[in-house]
Amino acid sequence: MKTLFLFTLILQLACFIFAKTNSLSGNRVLVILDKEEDKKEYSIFFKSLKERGFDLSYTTASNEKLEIIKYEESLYDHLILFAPETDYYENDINAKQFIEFIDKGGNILLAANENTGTIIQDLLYEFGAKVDEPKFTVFDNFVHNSTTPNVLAIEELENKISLDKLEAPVLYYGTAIKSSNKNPYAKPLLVGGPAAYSWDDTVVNKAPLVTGNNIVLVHTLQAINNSRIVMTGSTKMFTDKYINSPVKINDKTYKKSGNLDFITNISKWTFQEKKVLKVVSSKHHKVGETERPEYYTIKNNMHYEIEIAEYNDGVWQPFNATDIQLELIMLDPYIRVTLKQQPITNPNSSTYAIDLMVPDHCGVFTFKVDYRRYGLSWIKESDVIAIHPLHYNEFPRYLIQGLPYYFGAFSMLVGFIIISILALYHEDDSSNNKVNKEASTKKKTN
Amino acid sequence: MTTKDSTAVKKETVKQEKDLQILWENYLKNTPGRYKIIDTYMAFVVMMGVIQFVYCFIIGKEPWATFLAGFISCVGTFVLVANLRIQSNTSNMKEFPKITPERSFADFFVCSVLLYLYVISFIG
Repeated sequence: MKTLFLFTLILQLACFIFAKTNSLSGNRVLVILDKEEDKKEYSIFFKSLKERGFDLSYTTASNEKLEIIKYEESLYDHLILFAPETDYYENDINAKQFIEFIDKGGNILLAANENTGTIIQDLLYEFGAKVDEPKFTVFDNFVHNSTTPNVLAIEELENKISLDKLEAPVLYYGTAIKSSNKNPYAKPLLVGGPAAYSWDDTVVNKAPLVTGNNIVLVHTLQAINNSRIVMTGSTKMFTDKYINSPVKINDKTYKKSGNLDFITNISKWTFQEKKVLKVVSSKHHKVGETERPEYYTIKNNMHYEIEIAEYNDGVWQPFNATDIQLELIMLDPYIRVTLKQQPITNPNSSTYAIDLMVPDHCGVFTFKVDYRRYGLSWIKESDVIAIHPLHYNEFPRYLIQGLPYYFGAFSMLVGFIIISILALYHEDDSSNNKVNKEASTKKKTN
Repeated sequence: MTTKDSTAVKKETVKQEKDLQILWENYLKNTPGRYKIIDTYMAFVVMMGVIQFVYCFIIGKEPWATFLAGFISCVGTFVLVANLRIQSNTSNMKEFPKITPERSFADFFVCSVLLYLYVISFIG
């Protein structure tokens, strides 16, 4: 009996360990679908997520029990929104609630399509993006799969955010996204080719929302709190049919599309499994010391050090960069220097350091490393410390070259005494000053 | 035309020189001795100020606080002495009906003491 209990305990533990995901923010995923049946269409994608250790819950947008935030707590760590066509989400879930979910650190993988409803449109609007009119799909008469011009086969990435290059073209069927380009936290990942356009065969007199390279197919956004959002105009690109579909583009043929590789990578990026940075530690002290001082004195030589680690697929690695800067700020940056990478001693992180002289200016300074590179999570490390002026016994005083000044100042003092004596006791004896004298003597007698 | 002009200018300058001479003579004759001493002292103060300023230009900013103390003591002294000279003069009584010569001296004394306190504390 006891052994059986132990055995089950070990089994449970093993399950727990193996079920652990590589995601840093958690493994609870909610998949919201338009219809219950849609689940089958995405079976390969969902299966791959499960293999990566995610705990997937499925629901439909019209499910009465639909909830993402309860008692001000997110019930899930990540959302997969594959329900673009539903106009009304149950329990009044709207763009505002999704934004709240992001503010609480949640990540969203979102797919729109050619019949996008108001909820998803509102949400896209919040991210600075817009989808084209209903029934408009993206066409490209040059870069498409076999004979279907509305199934694009994209070979090039616009920005290398989650992966470096595509092994095979990505198939895309869906609507065009237009980015407002006003959000500095958003960047397109896949865009249409130069000849792409958005079109509906049944309506001829309407101009497309966007054309060519301005058509965004997959858009990414990394919020200020490092929450990640991926938006795409195609739900189809996640389906088994597109994942397994062979691709024939111009003369080249591929057995399988690059969709699985692509969506695996973007979901890894979205769910914080890749390209996550963290500051392990940061310290600064005077050169020759080891402790952070209470304050610095102007022109002190100091040493600054920061340890940064990058997370990729379950491993913390040293982070390599040449453009991490330290700023010494009092309203404006007084010093901005590039930190130098130190030889790697720790397999899990890398150290950046620099020796510098604090500014010749006293005040309360902020030592800040604010590193923002798209695709990597933002890091911001700051410390506030005072820089004091020299103490009265820390610099030479009464210098010989100041002699004329001393003479000037003391001669003024002596002059003051003489003038005072003069004003009090001097009497003019010349006759032309009688009036003056009389006046003064009168005053004195009074 | 030009000759006329030049003679006019000449006349003017001659007249100015004459005026200045009269002014100087009147000053020597009519100014009480105590004011002459004060004027001499003020000239000395200006000279000291100029010397320190030029000296600072030559040797640079190094004892900056000391320069400030020396130079500002000159400027301050000049202002205070000028005030004393104007206000204690009985012929100016109409303009300062409420200020007696004693009051003006007391003002001068208090302000000067304050000024030199600051100067001495700054001079190191």
